[in-house]
Amino acid sequence: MSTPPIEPAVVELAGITHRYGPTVALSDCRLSIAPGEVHGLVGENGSGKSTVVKLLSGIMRPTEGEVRVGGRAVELRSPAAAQRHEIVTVFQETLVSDECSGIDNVFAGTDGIFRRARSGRAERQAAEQVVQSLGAPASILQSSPHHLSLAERQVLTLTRALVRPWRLLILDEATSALDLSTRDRLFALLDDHRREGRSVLFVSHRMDELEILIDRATVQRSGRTVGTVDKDEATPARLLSMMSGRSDAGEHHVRAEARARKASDVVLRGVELGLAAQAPAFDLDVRRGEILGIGGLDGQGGSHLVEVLAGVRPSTSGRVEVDRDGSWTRVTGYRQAFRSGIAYVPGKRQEEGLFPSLTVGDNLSLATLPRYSRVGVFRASSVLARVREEMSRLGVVPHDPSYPITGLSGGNAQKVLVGRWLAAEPDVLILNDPLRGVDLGTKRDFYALLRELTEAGTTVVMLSTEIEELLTCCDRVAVCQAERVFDVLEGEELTYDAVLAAMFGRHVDAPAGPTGPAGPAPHDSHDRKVTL
Amino acid sequence: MSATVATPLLQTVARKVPYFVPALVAVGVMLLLTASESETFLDGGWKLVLVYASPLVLLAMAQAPVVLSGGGGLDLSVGPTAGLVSVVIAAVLIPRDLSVAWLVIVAAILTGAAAGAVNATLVTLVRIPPIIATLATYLVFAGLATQVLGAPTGFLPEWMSWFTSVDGVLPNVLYVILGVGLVWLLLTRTAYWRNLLMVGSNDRAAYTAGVNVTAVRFLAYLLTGVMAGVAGLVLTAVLGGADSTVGPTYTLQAIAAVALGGLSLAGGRGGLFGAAVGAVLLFLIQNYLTLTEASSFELRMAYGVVLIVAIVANGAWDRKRKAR
Amino acid sequence: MSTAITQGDAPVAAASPPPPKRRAVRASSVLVYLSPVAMFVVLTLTTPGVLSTTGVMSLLVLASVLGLAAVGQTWAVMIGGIDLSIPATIGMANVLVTTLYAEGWGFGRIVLLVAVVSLAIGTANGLLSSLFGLHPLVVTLGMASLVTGSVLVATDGNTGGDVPGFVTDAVSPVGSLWGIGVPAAVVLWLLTLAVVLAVERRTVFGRRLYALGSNERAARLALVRPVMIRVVVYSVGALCASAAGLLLAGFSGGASVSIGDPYLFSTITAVVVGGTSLLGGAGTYARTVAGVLVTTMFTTLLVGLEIGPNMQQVMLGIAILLLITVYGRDRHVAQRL
Repeated sequence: MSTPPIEPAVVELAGITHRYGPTVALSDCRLSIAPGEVHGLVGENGSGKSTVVKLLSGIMRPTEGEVRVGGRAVELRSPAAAQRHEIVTVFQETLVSDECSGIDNVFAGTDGIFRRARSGRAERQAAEQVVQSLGAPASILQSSPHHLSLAERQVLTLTRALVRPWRLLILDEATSALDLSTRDRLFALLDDHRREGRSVLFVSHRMDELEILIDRATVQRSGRTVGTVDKDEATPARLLSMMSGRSDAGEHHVRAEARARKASDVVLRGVELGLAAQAPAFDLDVRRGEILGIGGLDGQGGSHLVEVLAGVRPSTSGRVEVDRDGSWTRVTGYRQAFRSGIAYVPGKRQEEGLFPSLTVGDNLSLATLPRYSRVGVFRASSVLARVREEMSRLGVVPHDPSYPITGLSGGNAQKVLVGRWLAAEPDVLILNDPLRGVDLGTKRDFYALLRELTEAGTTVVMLSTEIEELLTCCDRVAVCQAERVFDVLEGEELTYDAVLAAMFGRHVDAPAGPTGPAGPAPHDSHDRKVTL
Repeated sequence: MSATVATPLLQTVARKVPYFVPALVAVGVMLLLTASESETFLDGGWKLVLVYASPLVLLAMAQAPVVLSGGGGLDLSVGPTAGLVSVVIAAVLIPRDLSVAWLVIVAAILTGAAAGAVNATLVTLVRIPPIIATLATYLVFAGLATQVLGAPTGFLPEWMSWFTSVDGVLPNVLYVILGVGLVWLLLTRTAYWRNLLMVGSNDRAAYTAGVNVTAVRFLAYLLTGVMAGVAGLVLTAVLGGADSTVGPTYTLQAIAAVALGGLSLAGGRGGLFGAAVGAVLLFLIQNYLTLTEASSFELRMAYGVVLIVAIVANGAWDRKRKAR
Repeated sequence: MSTAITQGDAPVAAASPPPPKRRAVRASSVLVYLSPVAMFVVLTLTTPGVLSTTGVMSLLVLASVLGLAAVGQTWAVMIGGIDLSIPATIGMANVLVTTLYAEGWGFGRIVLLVAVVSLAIGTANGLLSSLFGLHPLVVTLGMASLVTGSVLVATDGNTGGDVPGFVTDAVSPVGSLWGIGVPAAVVLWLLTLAVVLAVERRTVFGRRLYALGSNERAARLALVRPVMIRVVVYSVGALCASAAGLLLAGFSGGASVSIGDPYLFSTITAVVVGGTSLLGGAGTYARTVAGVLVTTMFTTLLVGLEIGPNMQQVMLGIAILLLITVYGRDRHVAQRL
């Protein structure tokens, strides 16, 4: 198929400015998506990416400027209106209803209020085709999504988008919930669509995915469009420096010096732990003063492991023990774990962490209030002093304890959440993927903070789904695969390739086949190496 | 995610069985108990029971669409709406000799629809939380009704006794209930059903999928109003007159019936049938206690116990169903 | 100061946060606290006789009964619930006090019994609404029937009774406690107000109450025990409602199990008019107090204008709608994405 040299853009944002009250979220944004291209949209949190996505999806309308579809200015008043212009969106959050079947989730919104757009059979055929091309079983369409995994739920929302007529597909961090094989199938599918002249706006934090997929990329910084670059220019280093406005953006990948901790000085241990019914048991030691990374693909047990270590979830077998003044105390629940010096920072910030109607100070002090109280009455001045101290240690902006928590950026909200538990001065700090969706600056602050904490004797266990992050800040990394710790890497062994290999159940020096105990192999694409 | 363990039997059953089955089983038990207590029950007595239960059944059914539509959806004003309808019939139409059947029926439905439209506007367009909006309209409708009709009146046109007649094989009022059910059944064959459940269980998902959330919810409140209008008509006939103070007493009972029938007050789960079954169950319990010559005091006490036990059982059942 | 780890040269670390919604919230809270004042001015201008010690005191006595009844409703709403058992609890206290006093029980013993029953009601409400995520609306509705029925069975529907003279004095506008010229009911209310506000603002329990209403899952992980909080919230509510029931006995002198019925909607109205969000996690009893004063004066105003009880009800409904339209609207679904 030949492409004429100058084609009208499928969708174009021309001089868009968007304000929330006095704050400018987007200022003079320019974005033009050509037919048949995958267009990357990158930027840190607060750069205006999500505003662009919301504008194009019809969730909000710009304060100034025009959205053009096929060269004509349009008003996208609702998601339904955006869909009439053949713009479909898949959000990072898996927006499915648990009370409707998979197929109803896919086709809801295609009908009128009463009129059905397709027959039941036509719906089934169209949906099954898409679901199967994504490598998922057609059975996910029949049941209600209660029992589906996160990845399967995201397959439903992808299918919802793909069964509609579309010229522009917006993937807003939509791949983060997918497992690797599904993601690869999706990418292959997008390739086909691209050849048919359809376009994709691909919003992602993952440099590896951007590199595989995109034709061009637009970079946003602080609500402004920095520029659009072609594929060959869009190297990770270039994009990162455009995003941050610094030339040394690659710097944070430099690994901090790993420190050897005495293997005998164990502060927390899992003994014959089983995370799921059929998964093999394993032992895990956490050494005093180290940063132990927990890695692994989504759904492979990493998240279960940190929850078990923190006492939030019971293990199916075995036990977790914490060192209390020289004797081992069994961890039986998170309250008891807290009394034993273990603090747990939950994973999903919005659902498990923040209190949206409370102030920053109240969010930060909630767990430790009893320490500043007598007969249940707390001393406001001591609490406030402690809150201020934690806020400045963490660099929370703005430095105002009475600020509403909802006014903070994701990174700052995360700092508050960590501060809630740091205020408890725990011996062991367990963090469940604290840096997901957090901007680079905050990440760097965190790495330094964790170092500082461990220097002072605190032990840190941190789950992360990003390999570089594990390499950047951890002394050792335990990689989970098939609901068990597959390997613990440290020192010389701790390399990008080794972690990646372990995620797929392989050892880096034994590439011939799976060496671990037989478990359900998570993916069939083990020969495909994702590189950065 | 987690490996599939052999699913316990109870959980499998809970997943397969529709939401209203526990209430239906309870109704069966209550029917047996009632039949054993009252000799005339099987011999036609049940028809009369159904007639007296019908206002509650219809009001519980009326409550269902808004509860299903989620977002804290609830209509506290269904009772007063029914009361308002009976006042319109007795104090507006009949004194003006406008008591032809079709006119009264149309007026009842329109009055209900108007009340529903007011609630719908307040909830979906002005975006006042449903419990506050319908609390306010409860006060307004109930106040207006009593203002217009101070004292109860018992003068009704001849034809309205059709509703309470039990001479046929089935009591006539059953046809009204079935008629409402049939209209609803037809509605569930359209896309509206899917839209309603989607909006009710996750309005954000529905909105981003392209469902017109506002229109779907608006319609739910309108439907509730229309059904409350029909209930008002039947209530007038069953009371044999209009009494503005009776309607409002049905509101909390209708909500209890909906919960008994297995509908989720959080929205998105259940249906009209469950609401009707819940209402029948509630009425049969009251009826049985009266039969066993319990005092109205004991009746009230037992009613509370039954309600709590039933809600707890429904909650436990739902927990089983959702367990992974 | 302490060591800040934020690097000085990191301009991206803090992308300017979106504006806080505080301005809007502040504005509406000023409105809420000014509205009783405005209402009072309107009332004195239209209704002669209000601007006198007796006039003000009779307003305050009425307000204190509603105010006590509304404590439980406020806290229940703040944890994302609702309490429909308040009228039944009021009725329970009312009947127990009058009938038992007539039977010759000592007042202290009666109060103790009423308190124990209230705690039982509150505990049951709290425990049941924590089970399986049951909706408090239905739980408290069932509890209301159970309580009213039990009281009727226990007293055999007996409505006769008697109250000690000091209870009648407590609600008399010309009554006076310790010679300071304020009826005891008002003093009781003010004391309750002070305690409730102190608990909301100064105690660990208060903070946890807000946290639970704001995000239950996060609250659990932050070491809050939801069951404990709910039990306390509904128990405190039941205790205060009992106090209201006791005061009501002073008005009538007789017992009625349904004397609390008007308080089902009027407590919710007071909370709503005060602007406490029904979504939970926000609000305060101080707002409810403003709501109580406004609704009490509003009713007095309508009575003064010779508007009958039915139209009063209609007006109240319309007033609720207008107030909520000004400051209590839900967000559109698009704003929650």
